Amino acid sequence: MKLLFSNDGHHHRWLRMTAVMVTGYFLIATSSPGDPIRTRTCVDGIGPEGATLTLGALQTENNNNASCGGYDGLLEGVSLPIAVSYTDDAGATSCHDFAIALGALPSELAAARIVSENGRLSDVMDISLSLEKPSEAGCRFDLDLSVHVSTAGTSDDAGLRHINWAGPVTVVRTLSFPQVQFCSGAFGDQKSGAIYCQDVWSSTLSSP
Amino acid sequence: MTKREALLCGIAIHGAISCVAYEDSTPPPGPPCIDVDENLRFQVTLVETYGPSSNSLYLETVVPTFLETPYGSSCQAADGLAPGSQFEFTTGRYSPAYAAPTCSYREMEAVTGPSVGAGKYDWAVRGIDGESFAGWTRTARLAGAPIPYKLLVIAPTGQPFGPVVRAQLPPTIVIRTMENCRDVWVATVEEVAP
Repeated sequence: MKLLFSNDGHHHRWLRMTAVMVTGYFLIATSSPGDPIRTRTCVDGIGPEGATLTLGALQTENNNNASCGGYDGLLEGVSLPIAVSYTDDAGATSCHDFAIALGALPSELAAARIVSENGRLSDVMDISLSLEKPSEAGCRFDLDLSVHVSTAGTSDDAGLRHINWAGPVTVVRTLSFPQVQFCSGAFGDQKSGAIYCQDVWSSTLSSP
Repeated sequence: MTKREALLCGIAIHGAISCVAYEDSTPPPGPPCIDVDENLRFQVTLVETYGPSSNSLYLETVVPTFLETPYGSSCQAADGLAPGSQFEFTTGRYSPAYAAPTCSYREMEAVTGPSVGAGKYDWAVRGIDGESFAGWTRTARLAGAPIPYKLLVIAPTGQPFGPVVRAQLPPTIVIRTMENCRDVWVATVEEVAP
């Protein structure tokens, strides 16, 4: 106790040194060298002019989920327009924040109403829509489109990671039905209850 | 006064105090969740299990989370309640507002149908404004053993007497919980002669 409350200069320095060492220890102990340092990912290859996602060959390896069988019109060879816009000052930087959305629904979903839609674009492109078919009472489902680039990206001199989105991509589309029995044509009208299906395509994203 | 008279008097006074204290501990009802008259007789028919596979629109939020049981599995008709079965009740008082603020539902009386002994009254559960129609909360007896038993009639649309319409919210759901299990059914409610 005498040591802690002493005004003696030697003891004071000792206390400060101890405090620095303890603080340093905790700083080192709580930060693992394996922790990833989050760096910003810059999107290259596509811009506000939009993009087109063209579905290629269906990948069946490593996908044990039931296929959606084209219920939403998404099949090999189908192209989907992707609406892209900046959410920041377009002239201020070469590394923009983006908002993305489906530019149009496939014709098979022309009768569907979009209840809500969310899109994000960074390391992964995700577009999620909640849909319902007013012509079919109770028919509701979620469509999740997840697009992944095949390359790891590059780093620039400023340490920013760049991903070029124009080129080959992998598309994972999941449909989730809370009550599939109300959606005619889904799964051959054989099932009821909460069901989801998924397809994976090797695809291409292109920008005009 | 003899010793016997004094003893009886003491017991009487103690009983009277106990009764008064019991009445005082019962809080008054809150506002009605749904306006229903007292002393009406209703017949409830369980149509089907309420869930994703039911013919009615299923929304998880319709089933109140405060009725979750630890395991949430079906009670396997241990009390005889299952799709196709019926029970009847007479509307009693509005439930006391133990967990204020809450609205009050009609407590079921003269319940027939579930194959459980009525047991003693248990605390009222929280009412859902515009939805809670009637409830029966008991420490019931099933095969001779006491079990916490709750039977609730809830009208998700606020209109308990309508028909069941495909892909629409059910007019009524019945929730029955026991100790570690629970079932929820789509149901119809019909007023019958007392």
